[in-house]
Formats: sequence, C-alpha cells, structure tokens
Amino acid sequence: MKRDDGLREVGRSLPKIDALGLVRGTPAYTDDLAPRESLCVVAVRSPHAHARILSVDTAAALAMPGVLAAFTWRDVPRVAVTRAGQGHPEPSPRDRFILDEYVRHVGDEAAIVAAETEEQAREAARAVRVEYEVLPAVLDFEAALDNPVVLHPEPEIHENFPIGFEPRRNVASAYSMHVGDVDAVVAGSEVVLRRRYYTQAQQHVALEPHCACTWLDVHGRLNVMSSTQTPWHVRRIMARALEREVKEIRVVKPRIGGGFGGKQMLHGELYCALATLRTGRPAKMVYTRREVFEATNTRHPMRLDVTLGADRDGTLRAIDLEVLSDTGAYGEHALTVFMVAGAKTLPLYNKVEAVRFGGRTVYTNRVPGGAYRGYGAIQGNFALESALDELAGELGLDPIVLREKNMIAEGETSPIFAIMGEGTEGVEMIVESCKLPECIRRGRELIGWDAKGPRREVAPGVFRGLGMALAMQGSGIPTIDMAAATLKLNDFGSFNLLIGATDLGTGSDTILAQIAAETLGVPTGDIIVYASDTDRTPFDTGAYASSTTYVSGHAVREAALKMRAEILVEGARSLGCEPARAAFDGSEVRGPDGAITLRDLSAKLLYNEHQKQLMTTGSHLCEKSPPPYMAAFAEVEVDAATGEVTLVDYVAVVDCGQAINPNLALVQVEGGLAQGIGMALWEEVVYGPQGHLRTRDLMSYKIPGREDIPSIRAELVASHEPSGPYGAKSVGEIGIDTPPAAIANAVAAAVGARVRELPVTPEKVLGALPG
Amino acid sequence: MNISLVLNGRRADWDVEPGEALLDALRRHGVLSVKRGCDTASCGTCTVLLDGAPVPSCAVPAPRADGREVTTVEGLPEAAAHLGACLAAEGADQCGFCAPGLVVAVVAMSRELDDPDDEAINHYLAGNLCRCGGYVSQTRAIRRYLQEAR
Amino acid sequence: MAVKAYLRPKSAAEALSLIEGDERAALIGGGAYLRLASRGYETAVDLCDAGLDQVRVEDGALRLGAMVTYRRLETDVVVRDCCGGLLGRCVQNIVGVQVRNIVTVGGTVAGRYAFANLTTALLALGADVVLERGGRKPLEHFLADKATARDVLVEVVVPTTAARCAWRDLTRVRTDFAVLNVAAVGDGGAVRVAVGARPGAARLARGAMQAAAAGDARGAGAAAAAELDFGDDLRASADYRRRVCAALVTRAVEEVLA
Repeated sequence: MKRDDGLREVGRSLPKIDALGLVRGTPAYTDDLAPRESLCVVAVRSPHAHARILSVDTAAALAMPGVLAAFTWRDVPRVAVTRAGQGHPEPSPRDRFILDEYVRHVGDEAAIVAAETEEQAREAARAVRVEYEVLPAVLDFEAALDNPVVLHPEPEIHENFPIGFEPRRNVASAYSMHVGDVDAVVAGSEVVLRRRYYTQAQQHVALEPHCACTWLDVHGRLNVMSSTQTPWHVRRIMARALEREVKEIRVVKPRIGGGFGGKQMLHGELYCALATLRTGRPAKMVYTRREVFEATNTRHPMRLDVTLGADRDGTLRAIDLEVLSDTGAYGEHALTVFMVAGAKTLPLYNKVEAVRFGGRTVYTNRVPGGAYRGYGAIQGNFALESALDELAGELGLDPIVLREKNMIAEGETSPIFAIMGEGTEGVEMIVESCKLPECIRRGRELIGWDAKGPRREVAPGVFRGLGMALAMQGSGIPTIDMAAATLKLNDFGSFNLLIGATDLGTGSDTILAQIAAETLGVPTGDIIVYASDTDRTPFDTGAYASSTTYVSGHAVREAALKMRAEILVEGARSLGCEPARAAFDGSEVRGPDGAITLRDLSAKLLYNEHQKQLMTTGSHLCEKSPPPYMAAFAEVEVDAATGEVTLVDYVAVVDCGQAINPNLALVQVEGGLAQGIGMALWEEVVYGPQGHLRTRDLMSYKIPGREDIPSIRAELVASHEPSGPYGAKSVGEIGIDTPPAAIANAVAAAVGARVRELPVTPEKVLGALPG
Repeated sequence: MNISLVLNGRRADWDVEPGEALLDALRRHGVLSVKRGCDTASCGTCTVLLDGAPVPSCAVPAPRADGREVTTVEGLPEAAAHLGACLAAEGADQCGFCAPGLVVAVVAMSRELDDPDDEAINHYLAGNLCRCGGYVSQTRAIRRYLQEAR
Repeated sequence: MAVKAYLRPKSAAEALSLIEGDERAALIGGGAYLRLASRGYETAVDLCDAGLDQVRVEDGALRLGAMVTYRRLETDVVVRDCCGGLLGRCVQNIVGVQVRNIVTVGGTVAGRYAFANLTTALLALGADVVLERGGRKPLEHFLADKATARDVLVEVVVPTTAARCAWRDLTRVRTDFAVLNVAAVGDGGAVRVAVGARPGAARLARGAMQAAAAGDARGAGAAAAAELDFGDDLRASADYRRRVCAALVTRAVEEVLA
C-alpha cells in the first residue's frame, strides 16, 4: 500500500500487537506470571503520620504457620536512596531507606513479613508488634517551611547535585529563575492581575495495583519482575539499596496494567528482594488498592501564585509564577515536577518582556508526591490558563483573542527552553512545528464557540458555558533521555526488535514495530517485539516524560537503517554485484542481473552461504524536546441551585507531529483528557485531621466512569516535526493538561463562579456564585 | 471446604476457604483472566458470570458458587476474539487489565438488551472502569461488536 | 478472626437458629463488601438458599424478599409497575450492574446504611419490615432501633397505593453514593418526604410533608432544610447539604404535586 506521503506502515492505525492476547485474559501481568511457589510479602504499615519506632517484636509473627521471614529497619542495609525512577544521578534527594527508624506518613513501611500464602502473611503482619513514639506531624504544606517539626533529620540523606535541598527547613528542593525585570515590567503594565490557585493530590489509579516478584535463577542472580515504567532505574536503585552490583540483578517488565507515572517509583521490589535473598525462595508483593492509595505516590499538590502584567490592548508583558509544592514524606520527583510547572507552561507565551519562576517543594507527613502524567505541567496550566481567562475578563477580550495575540509560533523560541530543564539547565530550541493556530481554529469550530457564545440559559436556573485552554508538553528530556534498539534478522525474513522501551499499555511496542517496519520496508507483522528486560534488550531510560515515540522511535529507526544497509551488502554479495548497484525494497534485494528475496537471503545467511547473523543496534540521545501543543474547549452545564457541573462536551485538537499510529495517538489524548477531567471535577486525595487517608479505596476516591464523560472529541492536526522520527512528537501526557483550566473557565463563563482551588466541586461553585 | 461448580462449562471440584472470595479462588486455581483491581467491588475488573448474571467476583463468597455456573472470559473465546478485534480496530484497547471483565459484561449486556444505544451501553457498563482510554473509543468498538454480532 | 464455616440455611428460621446465641456468626446478604468485612466473624450464614428472593404483590402491597437484588428492582416487571418505578429508579446508578446483581434489599435495610438510596425511598413509601423473630414493624421504627437484636430480616412490605413518586439525588460521579438523596411520594392528599445521606440515615421530613400537603413545594424545601440535621463528610459539608436539600426537596415535591 503506497500512500501520498510515501509512508506504508507509519501513519496507519494498526491494531495493538498484544490486543487479542490481553482481551482473552492470557496471563501476562506480574501477578499472573509470578512463580506459583512465591512467598507472599506484606508490609506492616504505620498507623501514624509521624512516629519513631521504639521497638518491633516479630517473634509472634515468625511463630505463625507459613511465616518464613520478618524484617525491621535494623535487619536491612542502610543506604540512602531515592525511589524515584530517574536518570543517574537522580535529581531527587536521596532521603529514603529500605526501612527506617522513623515512619513519616500513615501507610509508611514499618516492617516486612513473608509467608507461604497471602492470608498467612497478612495475619503475620497483624501479629507484628510495633511500639511507636508518636511525633507531631506536619500536615499543612503551607506551614511546613521552617516548622519546628523536621521530617528528615537523618545524617545520611543528601542531594546528588544542587537542587536546593535543605532538610532542616523541610525543603526538598528549591529553584528560581527570571528573564528581564519582572517587578519593573509589572509596575509599568496597564493592567495587573494577581491570583492564587491550588491544585490537589490526585491518585493515578492504574487498574493493576503495583506488583513485583523476585527469584534467584540458576546462576544465583536476582531476577525481578515488576509493574514498572523504568526497569533500568529500578535495577540501579535496587543495587544501591541492597549493596549489590548492578550486574547481579535483572529486571523485567511484563505487560502492565497502566502506569501514568505511578509506576515510575520503586515499590515492592526491594521488599521482595529481601525475602528472596533471605530465604532463597521466589517472592511476590501485590499491593491492595488501599496500599496503592496509602503507600505509593500522588500528584504533588501545589499552591500557585500568578501575576500577569498586560496592556489594555491585550499585550501580555510579564508573567510571574511562584509555586509551593507538597512532596509529602519523601522527595520523589520533588524538584522536577515543580520545575515543569513553569518549564512546560511559560514558553506558551514567549513574547513577554519579563518572566519569573520560582519556589520550593516542602516535606509533609503525607503520602509522597511522585511522577504523574502531566508532571507539574497540569498544575501550572491550571493556574496560568485560569489567570489568562481572568485577565481576558478584565480586558473585555475574547479569551481566544488574548491567547492568539500572545502565544508562541513556529520559528520562534523561548529563553526558558535554555534556562529550565528537568533538574538541570535546559537546551536552546527553535520551535520547528507548532500548529496552535490550526488547533484553535478547528476546536472553536467543533465546540461551536462563535455560534453558542460564552453563556446561555438552557432551563430556568441552568446555564451552559464555554471555556478553553491551551497546553504544551515536551518530548523526552533533552541530553538525558537515551534509548537503544536492536534488530536481528531471522531465517525466512522476520526480525526480532529488542527494545528497552517500556510499553505501559499505550501501544508503544506496536508503534516502535511500525517504525522498524517502515524503515525496513517490511510489514509490521514481520517484526517480533521483545522489550523491557535489562538482560536481554538494550538500554532505555524508560517510559516517562513523553519520551518513547520521540526518543526510542529514533533509536529503532537508526537500528533499522543500519539493518537495511547490511541487508543490502549481503544481498549484493549474494547477487555478485557491488552494493552500490543493488537496491533493497523491503521484500528483495535487486541487482543489475537479478534479485534475491529477503526470505531467501535470510535463510541463506544462516544456513548456506557466508553464514552470519545480521544484528544491528541503534542508539539515540534526545537532543531537544519539541513540545506537542493542544487547544481544548469545554462546554459545561451548571445548575445554579446546586452548583452541579455536568460536562456536556470536550473538544481537544492536538499537534503531536506525525502520528505513528493515529488511533493509538488519539486514545492517548482521550485517556489523558479523562484523567484531567477527573482532576478538574471529582478526584481528590483527602486526609483526616491526624493524617489518615479518607480516600483509600475506589468507593471514596472517585474516578470518572463512562457516564460522566459521554462526549470527548479529540482530533489531530496535520503536522511534521523535523527532528522527530518520521515527523513525530510525543502525545502521552499533553492530553491531561487542559481540563482543569478549560472546565474552570467554562464554569466561570456559565455562572460567573470562578473556582481557583481544584477540584471544581458543586459546593465550591455554589460558594463562588456572585450575589 | 469443598465446593463443586461448573466453570466455563466443565465441572470443577475445589477446596476453598470459607472466607475466600470467588476472585481469589479462581486465581488460586489458575483462572488468571480474572483480575484483582480494587477489593471493593468498585471497578468491574473481576467481573464473571454467576448463573449468567455479571457479578464482581471479589464480592461473591467462593462457597456461594457451590452448585452454580461460573463463566469467565476463558469460557467466552468467540466473544473475546470478536470484541477484542473491534477494540483493537478502534485503538480502544490499552493496558488490557480491564478487558476480560469488560468482555464478560458486554456479553451479559448483549443477552439482556436489544439494540442498546450509546446511553444504554454506557449505563449498563458503568461498573466497568477504564483508566487508560476516555471510554469513547471503547463505546465505538462495543457498538461495532454488537452490530456485527447480531 | 478468619471465617471457619460457611453455611447456607434453607429457611429464615434455620438462619435465625444458626445466628442466635452465636456472636461469631454473621449473616451474608449481598456480600458486596466481603473483602473489607471478612474479619469480623467466624461463621458466615449465607441467605442465598433461604427462599427469600421472592417478589409478589399481595393484599395491595409489594412484598420484596430480603434477598431480592437491586437489579431485580430495576428489571422485574412487578416491581417496575409499582410506585411509579421508584424502587428501580433510586438504585439504577449504584456502582454498576455487577454490584446491583449482588446487593440485596435485605442487606441494605438490615445494614442500616445511611447512604442507601433504597432506604430513603422505602421510608417515603411507608414500607414495613418483617423480621423472623421480631415480626412486622414500620421501617421507620426499625431504623430507629439499635441493631442489637439477633434476627433475620425476611421481607420488606411496600404499600402500592402511592400515586406519584419523585426521586432526586446528587452525586459526584454518576455511580457514587449520594451527597444527598430525596424521595417524595404522593398518596391521596398526603405527601411523604424522606431525605437521606445527610450523611445520617434517611428520615422523614414531617414539616416538609405538611407544606407539601398544602401544595407549597418551596415551603417544603425550606422546611426540610430547617428541620433535618446535616453533617460534614468526605462528600460535602453540612451547609452545602442544607442548601441542596432545600432545592432537591422543592423539585421532588413539585414533581409530585404537578
């Protein structure tokens, strides 16, 4: 099939290669594949938000039937690590141990037991007697800085490079930057808008709870299977924490049931490893849903202070964004999430004369913050895109007009690209693809912006309103994210594609196979994918920061280009001609006097003539991070008597460059929107006064169901990113960014209620109604 | 305690714990299509048919299955293949963890409802959560499946 | 405490004999929160074989066996034809079909769950409960009793004379438990109004009932908001519930009076 764009496999909505197997329920996830004889590992979890462990008595537990091991903080290596699955050295503080003398949030691990069955292990965990000295807790993140209660007094903890780490002040990280004189420009602006916004903790709720298993292989090496987004980072951090060599550990990711950033931290891996190393037995740890809530991570809650300076004609002159971020008990992704709140929002409005960003992340006795899709950008976006609408209101301008006047365009740049990276400096970058004008044009048409007007009464006391927001994200972390891929030619013409990349259910294995197939000129069905195994596939930093298509895709393409060249050489040799006179079209190598099919050539190469294995590796370092862009439009209906908000329609138009697989790109957008809508309207991790979670199951923490979001309409605009593989940019995160602002803006348009604290609940809407 | 059930059309004699959920008994006996998602009957991931009715197997005591028929996606291979193809064609399948439970629920829906529209589909399947997609592609795929299956 | 025995008695009387005098025995109605609750008892007494899944109309009343599921309330034509379909309507958004296939009328009522929509509707309908030992009594009295007596709820008896029935509730996501729920039932000249999930258990709003009987829907809303107690929980504050109560009661009563 030859198309106008000359592409055959890229740009096709091929079915996901694992689709049928998963729908049939084939055992594929960690808990399905864990050895049947695995011990079950269960944690004894702190009932206190902050306490010192005075003693742990495991004798009764160890005496119970089936119990083989119990560990306390005294029994395990004491090496400061971070559990954040990030590059080496990590930009998160090393502020955590396998187990510690202190517990710092309800649900923190106090001890570990392992038994033959899950029930025995849970019974044993209940029988472990822990004596706590309960300490005062810091539960309000706005009171954390310089609080007399210090969460992390331990001497071993440290930052790997300067990140503003000041544990004595409860500060996990701090940062500031500015371009131009913000105060002066604000002072000289005709209109100044200062607003404070809050975003809440959100839980990922991947339907597969976190799960890990470990076993020793015949060589005595520790094998780890885990529902992780970052196998290599898990291996490296495990080695450090367990005081072992990296080479002694293998980490494999099987199919995983969703990640969204929630599996970019280590969870059960270290505890399973302890049990396996101690007993020699395979071990597994499957989190209950309650444990997922209490003992994994949430999105970092933030307080965002925005100052905008503008002139009456709508020229935006200055943006000041000051952020306080709550990283909870540990500083996982503390600095980088907080920086992204500025780095992946502020460049949208690159024409300002001055821009400033700064603030801190602080420790509290809450569930640790962590990576979550959007990764700061959604928090920053809610504040900035809400503030822009408020400014538009003050200026009497259409919110779209205000944005069009000030937004970034193709061929332009922002100084922020070079100043702010993720934990380090960024990379200077000219925007080579930015279809925001097209996204806005199409979106306003789909939602009916001009026909409907911002507000109308559809029944007595019931109003509909329209709101919108723009967004950008990135495509990988420049100069850090690196991926590799290996292609192996098999007899009779198929290829193994070995990739370190980590498919979380997104379909990245399929997309990378499409890129390999396109480059080789073969059908995608001839590519056999094996992925995410630290022993058997090449390296990849992992599935995060919207990197896989853009970074790993490049590596695959490079491997395939090299493979093509080798096939040409071997084909020419077989045909007896110079390679320069031969051509390979994916199915055969043709020379001046004849041709040989790939099928025949590959068999000959292994069985008959000049026998050799063709195997090529491509490796790619992300050198820039071209943002995908999006314009989103929400239509809501608000009942002014109850404050109830019904999302009537949501339109999102995205520039993600060339979509490798349009259906899979669209479902990334749709799925991101659903999570963003959840954050906008319903989802919130709520604590009681003592720091206990009040939302620790799916009855109390509500994610949107299919009746809550009946209409999501996502479209991709034609775009081509010159630096991307086949013109692709990323699409994994951007979908989540816009709903909080777009929906809050729509509610404000409908009934005049401006909610600046997420989620936009009926109660807050009612409270914010004018009059 | 011993129970005897008909699992996917075949008799199964199992030793189960009196306090065990059907979900745990199924997984312990190697029926691994049935996934544990939430522990509180809130997500639909562990849906099975009990005497033909979709139920959350995490909330059904295993001993209650004694003398009854239990159907999991392993017992619905044609529907799984067909609905799976429709989901894949729409790009609606993502991590797949919710998919076996969804197939079971869709089969029950197709037996209970005649020609449901999108609203009826969304209502019947409201107990099947998905966190990866935004449901709309899934609904398109289910509609296509129902049309083709008729 | 692990469950050591699982029993499936053949009648309510047998079930009663199994739990009487055994504090470690517990009845299993629906079982929906099994994994949460399985540690409180040693003997599980499952009513699934006790013949309590009957639905019938007798002497002008709808008799719902304790093991009738929510799903039957939605799909059973006998139930649908009674009380303007209120019983099916009030449960139709509870979690999902799967859960409604196992949650039962008896489990809900006997559990005295304050958030339960069904209890609010039954209260407005003037239902009675029938207990194996305690006999028949008004639901309102049953709810006021402390749940101490060891007994088996056999069935719920619902008068079918209600002419007009209205249901209003407010939830976060559609399938969530209600922030507040309201049932209003017009029967002859009288209107009965019940409000639940305040977050306390469902109660009749007698002031609202008087105003409604006088044809004053807005007054009924105001009266309900004034006379009932409201509290804070995860889902909403007392203040918000009070405001919303006025609006929802007004709307429900307007529908009944229309």
